[in-house]
Amino acid sequence: MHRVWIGLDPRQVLMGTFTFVAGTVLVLHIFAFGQFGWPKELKAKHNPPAVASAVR
Amino acid sequence: MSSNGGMNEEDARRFHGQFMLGMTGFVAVAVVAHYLAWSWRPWF
Repeated sequence: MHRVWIGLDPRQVLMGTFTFVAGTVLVLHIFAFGQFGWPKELKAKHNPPAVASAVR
Repeated sequence: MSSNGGMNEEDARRFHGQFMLGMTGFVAVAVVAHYLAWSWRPWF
């Protein structure tokens, strides 16, 4: 299996792998937090429904 | 390391060992994180 690396520059391999994994993990976490409804809850917490009596 | 900065057979063998060690560590941390996330809030 190790033969796949022969002739390659280890720094480039590590930088490429790190960049790919970090980007993928970022996209997956954005999707996952959406599934948890986190942005919706946050919006509801910071935007309470307007009180009826306040409206003239 | 060969002249063009690429790995020879021996370098590749050592690199592969470290690479797999790092990946295994990454997966282990991810498994623990997903277990904690699931115990906090199951997603299906």
